[in-house]
Amino acid sequence: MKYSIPRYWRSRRNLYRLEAVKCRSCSKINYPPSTTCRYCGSRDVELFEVNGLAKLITWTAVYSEPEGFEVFKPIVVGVVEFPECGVRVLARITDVDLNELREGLVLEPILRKISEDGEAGIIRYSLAFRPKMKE
Amino acid sequence: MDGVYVVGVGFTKIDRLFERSARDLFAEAMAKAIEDAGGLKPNALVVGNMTSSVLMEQDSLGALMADYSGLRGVPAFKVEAACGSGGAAFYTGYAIAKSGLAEVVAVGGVEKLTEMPTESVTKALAQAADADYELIHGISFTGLNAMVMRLYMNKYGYMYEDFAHWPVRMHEYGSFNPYAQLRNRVTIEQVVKSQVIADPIKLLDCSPIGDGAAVVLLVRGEERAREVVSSIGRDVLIEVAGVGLATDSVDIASRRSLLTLDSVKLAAQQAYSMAGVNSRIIDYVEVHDAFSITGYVSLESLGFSDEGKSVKEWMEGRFAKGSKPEVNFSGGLKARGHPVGATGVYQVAEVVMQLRGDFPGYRASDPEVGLTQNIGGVGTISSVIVLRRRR
Ligand SMILES: [Zn+2]
Repeated sequence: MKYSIPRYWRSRRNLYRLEAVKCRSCSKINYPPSTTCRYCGSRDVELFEVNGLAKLITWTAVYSEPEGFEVFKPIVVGVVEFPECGVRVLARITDVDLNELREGLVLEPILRKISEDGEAGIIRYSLAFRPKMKE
Repeated sequence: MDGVYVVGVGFTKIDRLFERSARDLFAEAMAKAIEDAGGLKPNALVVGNMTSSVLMEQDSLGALMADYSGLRGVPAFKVEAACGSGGAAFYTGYAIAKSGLAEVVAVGGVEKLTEMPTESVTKALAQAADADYELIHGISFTGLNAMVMRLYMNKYGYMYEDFAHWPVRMHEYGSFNPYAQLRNRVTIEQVVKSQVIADPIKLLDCSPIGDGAAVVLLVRGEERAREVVSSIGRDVLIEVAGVGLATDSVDIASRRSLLTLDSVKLAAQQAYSMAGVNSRIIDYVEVHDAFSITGYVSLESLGFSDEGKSVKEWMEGRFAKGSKPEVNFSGGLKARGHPVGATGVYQVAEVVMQLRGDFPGYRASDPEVGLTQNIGGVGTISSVIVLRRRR
C-alpha cells in the first residue's frame, strides 16, 4: 500500500472540505488552516468554513505529470479565489475545455476521485473546481 | 570582526553522468577546490543536496561525502532547502567559518538526478511543494511555475514569444562554458516550437535534468586568506561581503503576491545591508533561472528591474555584456545546468571566478561586486550572497 492511513484520515479536512481558520486576535483568515495564526502568531483561532463560488486567477495544463497521475493527462490545475473572504485555493479544474479557461471564470467546488491504491487500498477523492453550471 | 573569504573553488562538468556516482563527483569537485586553494585541507563540511533520500536511497550524506573526499572524521552534514540547498549550505558554512568554530570550511553541493526515470525525478522534485495542499492535486514543479508565468503574461500583457529571449541568450553563453550541460545554441523559433511541459512553459524554458557537484572553501580573516592565495601566486581576494536567507509559504496560493518573490526580496535586503551595497552597485549576477519566468521575476525581486519590466528590458538587450549588472554568463540553470542541491554552490564558484578574472567561459567586464541568488521551491526558501573583490 502506497498511502499512509493515518495521514489520509487527517487529510479529510483538506481533501473533502474547504476549512480555514479565522484568528480571533487579528481577524485574518488562514488558509491552509493552521493552529497558530501566520499573520500575528496567536493560537486563538476558530474554524471558518469557506463557501460559495470562486474565481479563476491562474492555471496550467500539466503534460509532464508526476508519477501516479498519468490517467489525467493533461492535468488542469488552477489557483482560485473566493472573493468574499479572499481565500485562495490551489486545486484541479475539471469538466472544462482548455480554451474555456480565462481569468475570472466562475467556478464551484466539487469532489473528484484522484486515485486508487490497488484492490484493497484507499480510493482517494479530492476537492476540485468546475465551471458554474448555468441555472 | 574578521571577514570570510572564498579561497578555493572546484566543480565537475554537469551532465547525465550514468557511469559516475555522487560520491565520485563530489570527490572530484573537492579535489579541484583543494588544489585551487594550494592544497588547503578543510576541517568542516556542509553539503547541499535535495533528493538523496528519495532518488539515491542515501542519507548520512555529509559523512559519506567527507569520507569519500578524504575528510573522514571532520564535522559534516547535509543541508536541505529543495533547489535552494546549495545556497542554504553556503549560508550555514559561512556561519561556521565566521564564528571560528572551524578554520577552513568546505561548502559543497551534489545531486544525482539521473538514477531514476523522468516521472520519478519529476515526483521527487515536486516534493519542494506542499504535499497536502498542492501535490495531492497532481501538480508538478513546472506546473506551479507555469501558473506564475500565466499570471505574469496576463497582468503585464506579454506574449509567450517575449519570454523566449531568456533561453536563447543562456544557450549562447552556455556554448562558451566547458562545464555547461547544454552547449548548443537555440533560436526563438526553436523555443516557441518546443514541446509544452506545463502550459505555458515549454521544454526549452526548463533547466535540464543533470548530475553535478561543486565545492568552495572558506577561511576567516584577511591575513589568513592572503596567506592562502599568495601561496599559489594569486593577488586577488574574494570576500563574502553579505549573505541573506529568507522563507515564504510553501504553498503558492496563500502568498501575498504570486509575482514577487518575497523571500528573494528579504534575503537580498539582508545581504545588501550586510555588504553595505544596493542593487545599483552590483556588477555581475548569477540568478536562479530554473524556468525562463523564474529568471525574470528573480531580476525584479532583487531590485534590478521594476515589476513587469524585466522581460521588456531583456528583449531590448539589457543584462548582456556591458550592462549593469551583467547576468548569467555561465549559461544559468538553463544551459550550465541545474544539479539541484549543487546549483547554489556552482553559482558562488562562477561568480568568484568572474571576479578573479579566470572563469573558463564567457567573461564578465572586470566586475568588482558580484551576487548569487538561489531559490528552493517557487520562492519558498531563497538565499542571496554578495561577493566582493579586494586587491
Ligand atoms: Zn492573527
